[in-house]
Amino acid sequence: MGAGAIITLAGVPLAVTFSEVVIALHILAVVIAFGATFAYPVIFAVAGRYPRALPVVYRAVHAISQRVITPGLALVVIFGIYLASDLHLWSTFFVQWGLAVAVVIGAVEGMFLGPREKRLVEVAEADIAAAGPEGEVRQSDEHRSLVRSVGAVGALMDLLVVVTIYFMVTRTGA
Amino acid sequence: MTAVTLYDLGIAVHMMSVVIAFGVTFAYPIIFAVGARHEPRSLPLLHRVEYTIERWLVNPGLLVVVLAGAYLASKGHHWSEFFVQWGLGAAIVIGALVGSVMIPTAKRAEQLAERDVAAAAGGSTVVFGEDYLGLARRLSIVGSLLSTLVLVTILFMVIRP
Repeated sequence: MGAGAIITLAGVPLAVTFSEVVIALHILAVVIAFGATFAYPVIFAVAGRYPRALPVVYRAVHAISQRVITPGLALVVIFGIYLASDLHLWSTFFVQWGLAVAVVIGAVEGMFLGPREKRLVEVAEADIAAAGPEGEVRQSDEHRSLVRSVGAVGALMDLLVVVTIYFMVTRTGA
Repeated sequence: MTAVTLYDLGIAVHMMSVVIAFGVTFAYPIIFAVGARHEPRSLPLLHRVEYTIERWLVNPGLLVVVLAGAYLASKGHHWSEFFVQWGLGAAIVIGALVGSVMIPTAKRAEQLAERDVAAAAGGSTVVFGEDYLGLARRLSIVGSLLSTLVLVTILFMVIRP
């Protein structure tokens, strides 16, 4: 179906083109895939006061990476490729930037954040085991270091998403 | 190459705030599924996380969405169009449901879950009461409704019916 193709409902033409629907799906995929990461500072601020709950919070973060961010990113890229091809936008800066950012986010998720989130679950559980059933849980040096690195890289990814939204909306380079 | 206008910036801020304010709500089902499966004793904390996000992220984010949207509708003379009126209506419904249903219900669910966790002291299995499960169902249903409203609103904003 071409970009300008008018969608029909029960034979009645709607004033909506197929490419508009794909743009909507592209934006929806961005909201669903990347929105949760902006809540991580709030999640960790609240959960940090309950060290015995940290393993499950890290598990949830890792599950979000695997089941929301990764498939969502794939959809963002697929819809973006369709739009760039159908609207002949491959040579524009905002499309090339968007594609590069998608590759960077995918690589960082798969090779950096994912393994460290799994490791965070393990070290948080080890800290709890070391404290015993009633003792005060103290974070190990590795735990603190992982939290710092995951937090810093996660913030960088959020910044990339925000900058990319800006470039997409203003169609920078078009 | 065209210069970036204040209107373009308004659209960017409007979209960024939608991503930041509402994106996390789509992850709630996964967060609670992981909590219930791996550590039911964490459910009170997860409800605390839920209503803290709604207070500190969703509500202020919604305000920015509305302010940026009002600027765009005024600047672009779109107030009479359906997608703007729908968006404004959706923002009012979302704000009302978050403030009067989601936050109070999550706070009550936190209290009931704490009670059930305390009743299962000594490492025994936590059995959640019907009252807690009812609140959890309400949160799930209203949360799904809000997520659907966000999805439909984004669709309307793009296709401008």
